[in-house]
Amino acid sequence: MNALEVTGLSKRYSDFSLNNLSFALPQGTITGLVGRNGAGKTTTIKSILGLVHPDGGSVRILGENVNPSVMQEVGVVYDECCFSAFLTIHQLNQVFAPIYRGWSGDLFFGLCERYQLPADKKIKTFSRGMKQKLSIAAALAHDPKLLLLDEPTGGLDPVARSEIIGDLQEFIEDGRHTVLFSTHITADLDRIADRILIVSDGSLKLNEDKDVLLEEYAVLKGSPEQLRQVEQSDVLGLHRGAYSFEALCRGREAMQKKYPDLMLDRPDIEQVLVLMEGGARK
Amino acid sequence: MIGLIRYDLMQMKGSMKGAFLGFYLIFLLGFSAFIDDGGVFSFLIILIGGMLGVGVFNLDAVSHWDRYTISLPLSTRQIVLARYGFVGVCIACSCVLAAGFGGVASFTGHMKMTLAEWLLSLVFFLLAAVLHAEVMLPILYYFGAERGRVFSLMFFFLLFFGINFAADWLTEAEYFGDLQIWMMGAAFAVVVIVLLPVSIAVSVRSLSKKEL
Repeated sequence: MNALEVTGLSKRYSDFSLNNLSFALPQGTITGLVGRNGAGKTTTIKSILGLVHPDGGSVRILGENVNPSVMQEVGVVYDECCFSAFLTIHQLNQVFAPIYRGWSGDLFFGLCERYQLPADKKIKTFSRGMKQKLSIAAALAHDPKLLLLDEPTGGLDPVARSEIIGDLQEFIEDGRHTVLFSTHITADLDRIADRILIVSDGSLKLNEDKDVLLEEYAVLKGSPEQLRQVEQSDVLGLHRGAYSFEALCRGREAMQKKYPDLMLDRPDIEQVLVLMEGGARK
Repeated sequence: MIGLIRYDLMQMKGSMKGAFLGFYLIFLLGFSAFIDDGGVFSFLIILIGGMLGVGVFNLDAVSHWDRYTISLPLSTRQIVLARYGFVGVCIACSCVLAAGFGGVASFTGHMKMTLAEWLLSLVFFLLAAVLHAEVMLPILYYFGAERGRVFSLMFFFLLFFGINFAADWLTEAEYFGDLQIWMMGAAFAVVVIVLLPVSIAVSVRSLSKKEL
């Protein structure tokens, strides 16, 4: 069963629109949602959660339409901590315990201890990174089946990021948990994502298995003159420099045979994103 | 719902400076004890209690807790009812405080009214505080904390001066007997009670249509 199914999601604003977004998250996977600022990542997550009302499309979580009961199985981390600065971790535990059926104070305090968060200090004394760690601990403490993360690692130092990435990996290991991870830091996704969604200008540009992306996709490199050899239909994204070009293509072996004079590299997720966005401006 | 009410209570308690609150209460207690019409302060505190409860929207706007609550496993109605419950707790607590202030004014001989009059006025102010919440909560759900603040102040002053005007009018109009005053009070109570479900329904509708 899919943990999350988004079908034909549309939302129109005066200056931006989310266009017919469809994707599904199989259980036990981590899916990275990447795109530029304003591409529609947050609007997508907000639409899933009901914070904005889509003009069209449907969202199903664990096979059900979004409702308070199914939200028991969902954990959310926003790009900033949403808890009052005047509360302490002890008090947050008292808030969430009656709200979530599966809330575990032990797990919550255990995570907070692991992230070195003082339980009796007000949140206003926390750094941004500490607040994000607290948001993650609160989202994990009721053992949600689906975790939605909107830029959760922004503001975290590399060690803390690595720790949280490790926790997410551990979280999905049993095959029952699923993560949708919106981020700019594509290096995090290189480590843990199973699937990559690239959103650009409100449309889903790519929905691909990460291994396929890294194995099948290739970056052709050469001089501007050599670019003329490359067929437009092979190019998914392009970056032109003064003395060189980089073109994103699919079908590594076929490209190698077709363009033996050009250099062929394996892309990482960041390169795919940058080239696809470059391609959009082509 | 209990979690949300707890959150609001703990947030409000945390946001108040203990020393300032203590000074404020001592200040009001002093007025109750040493000036004529000291009982008036017991009424004022009910309105202030209600206003403080409604003011928690400002704290939500700062932390974006309103956005977070939407993603909790609660219906919009539960979220709204929790807020009404919280404001109700604030008003109830201020009533207890008001009774204390009234007791001090009475003990020091500054009550300047009979116990029945004081109790009637207390109930009247309690109803006024509930009315304030019934009007302000839907406005704040609709306009948000920032834009709603202007309405909040306007309505508070309107209510405060309205109560004073009504009190003067009732005192000076000799043709109103006790029974008529009680009946007017009862009519006010009925309006406040009938308005409550309407206010909740409007708030639920506003929140469910809101995009955060």
